Amino acid sequence: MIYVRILSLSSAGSLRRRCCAADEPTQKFLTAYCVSCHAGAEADGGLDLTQLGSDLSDSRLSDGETFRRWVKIHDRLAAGEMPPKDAEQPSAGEKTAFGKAVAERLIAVERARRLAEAGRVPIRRLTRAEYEYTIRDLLSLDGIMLQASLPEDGSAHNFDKNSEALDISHVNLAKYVEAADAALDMAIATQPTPPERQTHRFSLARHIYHILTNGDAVLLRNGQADDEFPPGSLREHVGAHEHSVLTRNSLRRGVSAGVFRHEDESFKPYFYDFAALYPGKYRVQTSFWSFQWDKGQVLPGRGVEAARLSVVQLQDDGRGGGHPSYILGYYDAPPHGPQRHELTTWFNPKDTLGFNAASLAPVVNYSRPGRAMAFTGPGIACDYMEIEGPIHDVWPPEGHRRLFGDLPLVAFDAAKNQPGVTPPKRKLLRQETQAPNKPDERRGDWTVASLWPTADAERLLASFLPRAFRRPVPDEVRKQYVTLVSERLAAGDCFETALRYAYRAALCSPDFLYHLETPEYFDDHALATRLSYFLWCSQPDDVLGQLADQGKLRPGRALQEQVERLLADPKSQRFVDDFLGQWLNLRKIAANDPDRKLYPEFSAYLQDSMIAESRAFFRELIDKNLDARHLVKSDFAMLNEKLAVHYGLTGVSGSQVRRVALPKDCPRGAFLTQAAVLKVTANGTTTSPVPRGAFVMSRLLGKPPEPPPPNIPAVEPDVQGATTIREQLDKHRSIEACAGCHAKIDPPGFALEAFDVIGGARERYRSIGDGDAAPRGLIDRFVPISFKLGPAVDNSGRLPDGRTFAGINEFQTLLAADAGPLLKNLAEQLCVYATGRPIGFGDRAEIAAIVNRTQAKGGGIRTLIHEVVQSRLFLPVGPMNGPRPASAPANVAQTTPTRAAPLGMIAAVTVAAEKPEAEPRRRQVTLRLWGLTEPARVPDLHSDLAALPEVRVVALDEAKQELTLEYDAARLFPGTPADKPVPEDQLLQQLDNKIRGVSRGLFAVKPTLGDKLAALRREELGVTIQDCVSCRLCVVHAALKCEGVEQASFDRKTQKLVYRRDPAKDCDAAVRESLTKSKVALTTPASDKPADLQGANSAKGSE
Amino acid sequence: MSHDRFSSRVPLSRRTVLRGFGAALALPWLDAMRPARAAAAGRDVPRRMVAIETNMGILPQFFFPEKSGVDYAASPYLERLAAHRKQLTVFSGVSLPGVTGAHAAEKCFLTGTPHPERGGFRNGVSLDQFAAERIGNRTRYASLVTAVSNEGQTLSFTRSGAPIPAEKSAKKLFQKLFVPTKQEEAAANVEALRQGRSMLDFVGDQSKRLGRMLGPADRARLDQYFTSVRELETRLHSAEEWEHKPKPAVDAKAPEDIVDGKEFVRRSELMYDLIKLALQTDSTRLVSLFVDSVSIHNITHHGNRPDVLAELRGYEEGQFDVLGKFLTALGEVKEDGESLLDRTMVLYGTCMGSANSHSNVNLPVLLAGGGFRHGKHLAFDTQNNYPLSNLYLSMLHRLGIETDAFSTSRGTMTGLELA
Repeated sequence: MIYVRILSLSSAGSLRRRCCAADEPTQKFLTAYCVSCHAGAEADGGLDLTQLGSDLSDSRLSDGETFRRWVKIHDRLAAGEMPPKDAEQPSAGEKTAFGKAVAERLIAVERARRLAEAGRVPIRRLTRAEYEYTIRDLLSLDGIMLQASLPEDGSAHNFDKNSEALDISHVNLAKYVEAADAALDMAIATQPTPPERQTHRFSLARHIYHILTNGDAVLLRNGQADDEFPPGSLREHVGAHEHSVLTRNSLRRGVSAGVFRHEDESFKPYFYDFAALYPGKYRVQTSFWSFQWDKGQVLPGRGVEAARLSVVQLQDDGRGGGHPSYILGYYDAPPHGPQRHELTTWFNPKDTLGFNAASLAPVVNYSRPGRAMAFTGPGIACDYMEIEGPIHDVWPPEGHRRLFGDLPLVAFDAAKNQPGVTPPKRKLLRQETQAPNKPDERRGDWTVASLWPTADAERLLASFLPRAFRRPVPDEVRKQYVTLVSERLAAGDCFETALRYAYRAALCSPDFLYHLETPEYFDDHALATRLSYFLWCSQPDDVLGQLADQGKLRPGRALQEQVERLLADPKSQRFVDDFLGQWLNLRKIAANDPDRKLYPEFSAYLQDSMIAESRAFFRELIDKNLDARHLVKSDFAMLNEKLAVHYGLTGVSGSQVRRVALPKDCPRGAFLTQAAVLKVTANGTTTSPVPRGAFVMSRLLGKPPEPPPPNIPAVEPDVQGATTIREQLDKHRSIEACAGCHAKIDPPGFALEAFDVIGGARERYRSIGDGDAAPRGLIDRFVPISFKLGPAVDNSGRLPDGRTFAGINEFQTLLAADAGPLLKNLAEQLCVYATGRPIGFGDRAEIAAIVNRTQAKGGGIRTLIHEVVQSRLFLPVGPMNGPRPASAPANVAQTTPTRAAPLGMIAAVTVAAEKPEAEPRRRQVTLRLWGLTEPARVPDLHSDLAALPEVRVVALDEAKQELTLEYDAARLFPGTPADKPVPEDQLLQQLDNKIRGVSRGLFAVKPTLGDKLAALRREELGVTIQDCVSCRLCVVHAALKCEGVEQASFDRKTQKLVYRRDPAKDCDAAVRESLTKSKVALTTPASDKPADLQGANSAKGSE
Repeated sequence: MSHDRFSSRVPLSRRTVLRGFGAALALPWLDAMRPARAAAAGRDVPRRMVAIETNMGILPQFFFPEKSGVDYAASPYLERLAAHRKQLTVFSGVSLPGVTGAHAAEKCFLTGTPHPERGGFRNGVSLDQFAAERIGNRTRYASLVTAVSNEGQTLSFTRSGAPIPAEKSAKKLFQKLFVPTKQEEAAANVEALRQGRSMLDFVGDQSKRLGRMLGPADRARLDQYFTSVRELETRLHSAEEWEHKPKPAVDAKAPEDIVDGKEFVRRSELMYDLIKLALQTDSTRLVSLFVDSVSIHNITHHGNRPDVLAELRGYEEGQFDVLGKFLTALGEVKEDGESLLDRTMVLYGTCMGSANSHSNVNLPVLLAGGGFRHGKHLAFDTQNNYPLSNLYLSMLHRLGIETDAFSTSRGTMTGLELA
């Protein structure tokens, strides 16, 4: 510490010796070359050496400001930026000596500080992402969503893994308690057998009927427009309800949905027919194809289109829709026939799937005259959607076994075998949404049974705690948890509840929530943990755990093998996503929606493709071990069709991202010119070289610029086409105070002016005010060109070292000339991410060593990851040599049973035999059927009635519209004595309710007319409607609603409504009124009001 | 491909805490305490605060009046609040010292913590939580943290700078405030709370065990955990005490939530209605409301295009209209001969002086109600701004909190006097 008080500067600006003689040269140097500018209130760059605390050990150091300033003084001098060129220069020897002296002191101070803190890496809390992934892996709940319910993490130095930023408060803690409960609820099995694996097949048509009638989608059968449900055209479809119900039958009728319209605020094509009840794995199957619609004709598609599937969490009862929780992926819809897609995904309760015609331009036909019949353009067809699950290969599921091992599940019976014991708390599972899938029949409270609760608790906790805490757990700690269980058992909790209480405590304990990687703890287990959180964002798996247990996880080969294994595992994608999300700020990709007029071609599909590109590119760098020059320049790119077109490249087809060789001189491919990066660094309306330059400097080149001085007004962006940002900036840059920093910040930004807000290449700025008409280029022809071309872009510049570039390509070449800084930057970013600690002044040497070793081995990114892991930064202070902490003796591992709970047999379980079913009391009844509009609807009737187990169709008389049913009175009227006859009106009422319910009101039953039938008067009424089964149904319903109308049907040939009415009741006018109300146009004039109505109708009919 | 998650966060409150312990509980309403309060009238006048931030700026040209003092001519936006002119003070030339970083500043509107855009940024305690720590124990809820948003923003931060998730659903807020808990549920809640507390005791002890093995800096980090445990325990304890007292009955129906982000004006109105009810029933005295107008973000980068400016102005006028309605509603509620508005400070403002340039100076801010001598335009230097944190200190004093400083304050607000 003797170097700490180095120098002190008097307020007068002269230097006064205070400490040891070793400081004298330093003081002399500052006096000679620096103080003339950097002193007093008007000091250059705000650096007043007379005020700068020179005592690096004082408390201000922990704030880092004084320390940072000294680092900066060191760096500016080392970089040759100071003293300025026009000032008196120190000799090379003087400079080196000064730099060395300052550096030594800084390192000493930093080391002292870190020693005082007794650990290079302070303990830190799990981040939200780490927490979620850890719970997923710990309890084998692959898709549980917990992140969103935890408070947002702070972040420091661009990463959220920093100890200092990861605060904890009672808010976090309360949320951890909730999250632990949610996870345990989901993991614990409550039934003796897995939930029934069901398969549901749905039609998209059912969820988009309102846009079918608008012409924003069409029904297709055998590759052509469906003749029973013609496309929305000039003539409106009538009867929304009828359409909504009848489209349910489209699958049975072999009909696919063809969609032209993109998902938007008022159109959410989600599969509301399904809402998961049981969390777990589900298999999803679907089939897509693309087509070209030409005013009623179906032609081959223009190319491969992409449909998006997302998992949607329904809110409340589901009617209000929901938001896509996350995107499952984009799937090809090829032009020549359907392509089947199959995938497995996790559903949480109330999840369903959402569809989107992602690759189509946002076209709406409902406001177009003629609607679908006047539209020519691309569409995406979805044949069906099939969801099967939940899929359980083992029962109870793996997560349950981690908690309760192989203890048998038994029916809880307090009265019989567990008097005085509180049963486990169970939430009644019910379908909260409108979806028809229902939970399995409940079979009582099932729970794990233990004959020796304390011994079982001891055994199970000995298995669970080390896994949860990611290291051996001392016996005394385990005993404390066992005591918790005993206390709860004594208080009357059942075994499950008591053990669960201890598990919840474990999941809220600091042992679970914190990374303990301090020297005291930095043993093999800490290393295994750090490694797996680096590359998997989660806890070590059994292999890593066992290696650590055996002390085999050593630097060198063993560690290298593990890095390879972890990178090869699909879980390493978490690292790619999480790291890029922060390093390149991709988490904020959606922070700014591009201005719709300036960038009409922008879409969610484009944005998701951008992210996919960056992720795939990083993955490719790792997999192929490519060098750091690829950060700024690449001869290949990772593209799908959407991005390729966006970049002006052709020959890439489909939604999947793949490696594409780039033509010579194409600037794309590298992170520097990826659309994701270009979008993240723009504000949606304009670009500015300043933030983009700052981004490149800090994230790619590792030279973060100084923050802007206070009170500097920002540039007011302008999109009127009058000035360019460069012209505006030039004024700013001409101010001397600003020029220094901007000379460094701006050049990368100038080069990137070659790209717009969404990463498209440009030679001229887009403008909304002045400018020339813009050519369409490769923009989808269904996207209106709503912008003009303004002033030309100047993307030339000059680096601070004097080298100049004419444009982006030359700039890339300049940067790529030296891989060193790029590799060093990436090494630093990876180290900060992996260790949760900023790079200290004293770490610079080790970073340099990592870079050197990597370069010696070819400079590949995969090599870099290995070198980072093998470095002193990752493996602090001789980790493997220190003694194990006294509290966790080496023999603990031996007292701990093996990690994987043996998958023993589940004890035989007797399920109470179901009562033999009583002899059904089957009787027959004949009823008048209401709602059978035409023969084509007979299959609908049968399929609806098939869903009613209590009835069976005996006969159907279509002419009389009479239905004979056999019914089971015991099921229709549960609880009534078998021999008691049911009053006829009650029977009718009950059957009517059931049939209305199952047909959603499209069928009903009434008493037969009998003799009255012959006396009814037959009426006909011509109407003008679409030749559509639902529209006809609407017409018939409109008539049936009227008092006096006893029967109605539709004659498709003559386009006439046929109804029979009570001769005593003249309801013809009422029928007309009812039809008009339903927006049905009449062609037969009413005898009593002729001319004007007729005129109106024929006018409408002639359209 | 992208796995963006849409956060749906629930605020932390006593109730959330309880839900975490498998409980949902009833908290009392101050009717039960009213006699006691009436007795203390004059001595303990309830003082309240509602702090509102709209995060995408307010067009300055339509907000700031030109003339300062009492006879300023109302600007177009202030015109919408004309009925309340005597009950509000409008400020210009104010900002939060050092709070920069464009959008990043939105989380500092109530904390005033400088430089949210910098690497090692850590937020500080927000005005409402600072007050809640001191006077929050007087009501059923120490504070209400609310938002009109589809994302996870909040205005409120704990002492350690951790964000407190905001309640975004008016429906859930209503339920929390006014829908009574069943008796057996209450009993189960008490049991759950006790179990929760003893579990916290246990994990608290675990942190002490770990702490013994760590160096001083790490021990400090674990202390933060331990403090959190204790704070949560305290909250559970007071939740238990509230458990048997009934919730207030109000003559209003539970609102239906609006999901559409573009409807933030109507959504704000729903929240204002509930906030009024919460204050009226003395369920809380401190409320923060974050209004996320990100759905108009793209038009805030208006680039001075007239049509876009007009559209933006339409939205913002709507915001002032519903604010005006809220002030009217507060004015109509009487308590001990004063109006609720007389006793409620309503702070309304934004973190950006001009969204177009993302500047964080010259913030449009106004303060209504609370028993100040209002009716003025307090104009400060637009080149060298006056610290808005001084206003926050004045507001804390008005709440009866004795403190010398808050955040970056250098004193109380010049020119703002008690009525």
